[in-house]
Amino acid sequence: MVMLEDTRTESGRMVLNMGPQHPSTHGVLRLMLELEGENVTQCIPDMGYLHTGIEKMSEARNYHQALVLTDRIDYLAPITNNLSYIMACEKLFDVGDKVPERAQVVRVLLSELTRIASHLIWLGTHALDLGAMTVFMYCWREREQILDIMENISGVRMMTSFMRIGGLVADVPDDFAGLVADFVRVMPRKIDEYETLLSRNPIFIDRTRGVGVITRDGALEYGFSGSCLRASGVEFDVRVNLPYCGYETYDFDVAWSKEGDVYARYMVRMREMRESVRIIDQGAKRLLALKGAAIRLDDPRITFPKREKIHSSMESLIHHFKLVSEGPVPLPGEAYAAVESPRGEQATYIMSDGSNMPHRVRFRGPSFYNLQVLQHTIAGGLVADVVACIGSIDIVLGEIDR
Amino acid sequence: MVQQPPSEGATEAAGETPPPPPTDIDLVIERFPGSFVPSWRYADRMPTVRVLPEHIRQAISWLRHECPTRYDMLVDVGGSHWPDRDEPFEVTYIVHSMTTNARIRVKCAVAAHGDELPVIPSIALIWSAANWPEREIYDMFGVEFTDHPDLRRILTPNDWEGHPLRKDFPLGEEPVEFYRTASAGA
Repeated sequence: MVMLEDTRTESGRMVLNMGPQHPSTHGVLRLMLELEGENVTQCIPDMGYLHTGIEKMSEARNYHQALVLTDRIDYLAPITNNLSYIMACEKLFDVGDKVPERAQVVRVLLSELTRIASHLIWLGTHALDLGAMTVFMYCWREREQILDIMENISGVRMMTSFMRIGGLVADVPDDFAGLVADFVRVMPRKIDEYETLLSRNPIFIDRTRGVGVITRDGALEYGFSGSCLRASGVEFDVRVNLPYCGYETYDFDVAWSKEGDVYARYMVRMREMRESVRIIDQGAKRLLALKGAAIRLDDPRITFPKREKIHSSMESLIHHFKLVSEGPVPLPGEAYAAVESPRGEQATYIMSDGSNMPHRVRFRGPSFYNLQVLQHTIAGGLVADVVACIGSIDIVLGEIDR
Repeated sequence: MVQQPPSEGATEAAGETPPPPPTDIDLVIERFPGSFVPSWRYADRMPTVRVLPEHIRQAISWLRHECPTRYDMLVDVGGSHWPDRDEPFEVTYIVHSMTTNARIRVKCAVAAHGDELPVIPSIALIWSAANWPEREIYDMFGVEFTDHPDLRRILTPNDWEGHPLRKDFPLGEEPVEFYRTASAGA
């Protein structure tokens, strides 16, 4: 932790403490800024205020139980966290390629819905930081629609924990298709609406063009991923480059840009939302075609017996008890699984020693790597640009501090 | 599911089939004496090599700048603690190549002598992306990275005692019934 010494250093520079309770640091990020007039000469980020020890806790849970912790890492995109954790488990249990297709389609659908919901929060708060209040309200309105869909399938609006090793916890309800269709119908027009407010807004452009520029080499040097990396001219998307859940069979484009400034990151995410809507549309059609298909793998090592069978068969009851109390037991080994979360490459790295609990679980949070570059882009800029830079990197402190 | 180039011999003992061209793993083994493919189950089929700590910086630098497949993205640096092994502190680096979409996992393990912290050369000077992850490993596992530009605790407070992700660090929870203890399974 950095300590504040004098508020005024010997060279006449002022040390300003920003955060951890500052609204535009998007959580509990603390920045130590050294200012010379209005110019930032140095920036030292300080985090850990939200450290919850999720990795340590996962080592004391069995493979099913640790799932609910993953929702809380990147709390704006719980589904993608679930997915990377579940995919790592599936690899560990050697069932990665046996997950039923309907489950894969729902996973893709939910991931993309989450991506839009997360980007809407980013857009709303980012615009709010730069003084555009209306966008914030609009974004919340559409995000509500996504949260309603989440509530409809799982009963929970945010921390759904809807995935299970080998598939999903339950099938989606019948009216899910209708809700998704409604969303797909309205969303493109809503994105147009946001764009009319921002994309050609001279104030927004002045605040974002040429601000916080990160070059291609810089992005690779600092381990960028996700939209930030793509805005710096690297066409890398886990969904395309290392496809999972059948993403290679969907028709969508990877949004990218060469400029690498705050505006480029804005444009990339806006285009990404449109592409997500396209994927959701295709996924919803596939879901109709797969009506009634299995949503979970039938593997007694990891999946629970059917509820009806528990009531009538002793063996199923014992099976259920064993899976709940002891949990599934993989062979010793390790597995790394990455997904494209709204912020970048979100990965789970599980090491097993052959017991019922993971020996080590590591969560690779994209924000943790993306934030590293912040101190270098902010230094030399203006104080007012600090909030623009933080907002454009789209950090979630839950994921940085874990 | 992860697309990988064919990696014969990455998980088994290498060298049964004569014709295939040397993989990047073979090149690393050839170039850095003492490196080998660990006999361990890598369920994600990512080619893995373990190098000696004194070679880790050169190995990562070679993969990034000189290897025929340029591994130009540092995906992850993570630590783990295996108290039963001879070299209990393990650091795992994952690098990615933008041109071929190949990934390689490089491992490095060290032992701690007495009460001293285990020491591994830092790669933060040659790859800035490793800066914070190495600080995190220092914080969580107490692995010291030599020549690191700014080795401080990152997630826990400065006055925190101990390294939370070490296996001997207490969890602070009440024990739960019906659990098998570690290493009794499978």
